[in-house]
Amino acid sequence: MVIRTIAINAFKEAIRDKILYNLLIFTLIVIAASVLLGRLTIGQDQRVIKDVGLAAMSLFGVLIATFVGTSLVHKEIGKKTIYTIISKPIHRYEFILGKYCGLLLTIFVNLVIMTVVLLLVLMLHSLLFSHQLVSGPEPIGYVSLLKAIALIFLELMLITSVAILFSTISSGSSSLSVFFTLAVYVIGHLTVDLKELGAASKSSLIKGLSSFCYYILPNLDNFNIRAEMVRDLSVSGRFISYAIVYGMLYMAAVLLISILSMERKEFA
Amino acid sequence: MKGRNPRLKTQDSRLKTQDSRFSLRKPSVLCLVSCVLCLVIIGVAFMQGQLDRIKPSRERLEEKLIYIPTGRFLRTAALGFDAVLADLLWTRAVVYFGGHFLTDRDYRWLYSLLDATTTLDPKNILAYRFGGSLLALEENDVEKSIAILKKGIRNNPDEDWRLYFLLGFNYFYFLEDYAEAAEYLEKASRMPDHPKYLPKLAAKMYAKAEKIDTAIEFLEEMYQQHDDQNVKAAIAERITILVAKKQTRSLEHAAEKYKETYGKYPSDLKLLTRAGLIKELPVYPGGQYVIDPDTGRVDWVSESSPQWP
Repeated sequence: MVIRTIAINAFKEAIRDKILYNLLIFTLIVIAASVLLGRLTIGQDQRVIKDVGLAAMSLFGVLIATFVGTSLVHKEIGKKTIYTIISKPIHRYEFILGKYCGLLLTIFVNLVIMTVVLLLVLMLHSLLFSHQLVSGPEPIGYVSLLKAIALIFLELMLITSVAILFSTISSGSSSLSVFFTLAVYVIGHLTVDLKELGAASKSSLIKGLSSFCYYILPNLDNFNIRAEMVRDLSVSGRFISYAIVYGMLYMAAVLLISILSMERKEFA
Repeated sequence: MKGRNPRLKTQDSRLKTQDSRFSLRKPSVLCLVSCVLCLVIIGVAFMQGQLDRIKPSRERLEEKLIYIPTGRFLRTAALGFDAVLADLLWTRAVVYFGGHFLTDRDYRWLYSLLDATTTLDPKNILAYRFGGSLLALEENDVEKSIAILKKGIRNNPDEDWRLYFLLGFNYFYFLEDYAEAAEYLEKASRMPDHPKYLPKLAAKMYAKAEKIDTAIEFLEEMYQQHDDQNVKAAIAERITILVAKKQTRSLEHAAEKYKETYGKYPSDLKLLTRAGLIKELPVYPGGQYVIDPDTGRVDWVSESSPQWP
């Protein structure tokens, strides 16, 4: 109950911060892609729109998760509103989970609207321009698109938990938490290279260290099936379900650490 | 405390019960949570292992889709991190070659990777040498091998004699353009640190000496130039094939002589040693030489082949 109240408050706060303005930019990008880029690539218009749309979804999502996620806890401390919250019979884990769920709700609503915009642009595009193609209209492939978006959401859930973790650890500056979160995002997409680098090394110490880092750091490539989905290539259901379990477990670990860190914090 | 508001009292007790029910500050709870955390982290690592196990099919997909932008575009996109990006691509190229050398030997993206690497970092001599050797020997794409070597020479004209050497080999062995090959070898022999026999090799080019012998000499030098075990293995395999070719030729020659004496080709190569035409039968690593008694053609079969006697 408490978690729900905090979550709804966090969601309202994000909306009040005019977070949804990013949707405007997103819409502009997708439409621009459909009109400009689509025309340049013969017969691959739909693919380009999907590629650009999904990439923009992921990018905007990561930015929201990072900037809003790190500020949610910081703001409470900065404005000293945290005192009124922790003096109430609320557990700190409820506070963290509430904030987390609130932000997830924001991101979810954002993604849903983006998905609707993307689908609308795709449908409109296929209606307006398909007669120019000899091969007829390309199928939009809703299921594949939704699969890719679902995994984007999972990736964003993970990044959000990381943002919350850093905001509870570094109470001093919000920009530091932003920096750390973005660093985790970049590292998350480079872990495969880390492993390959280790495998190519002759030193067993480096090999061990790199494979340790590989298994401990988040591997965000597990959630990236955008390229396959856009090109209608199959990704096994087993892979997707394993990726979901992986994401959930990782998120649970990060949230547990956030809660532990919040629990040890002294607010004087 | 006697006259305390009863409402405050109940709130107080609610607070207490909530705290006693579950508090992370309690050592026992903290211990439990830490254990759960450890288990979850182990679970994460386990799931990553599972994902990697079913990944191969996915990686192959990715490679089909792989698109490496041109180096010039990457240089703009790298925002000043050209060197780091070049290093990353270079590592990818080495790992890419190693992975495919041990499996399907399909290297269709090697050139793009090396081209992008060397545009971002034009001084990476090793990348030119790597591409120069392997694109021709393994991928059988002499054009691309020559292209990358010429790019290397353009960017580093006085840096490494091996670039000229490899170019000379390509012209000699694959294109059979002996004049061009000799010219590059001569250039190589004017560079510092070149091996002593290089001028001799250039002279052989001009004299159009026996191709297989010269090629073996070239490849043996190439073998010395590389440190990567996979590259060495690829070159060694090539040398073995050339040596085998050379030996089949001399065996066929001996078989002809045998026919001149006995009126037919030998049914077994051992007969050549018994007839005193060769001192001993040459050994083919991992296989042996066989003769076709009807045509006199000598071939080599490896143990894994179905023709193995």
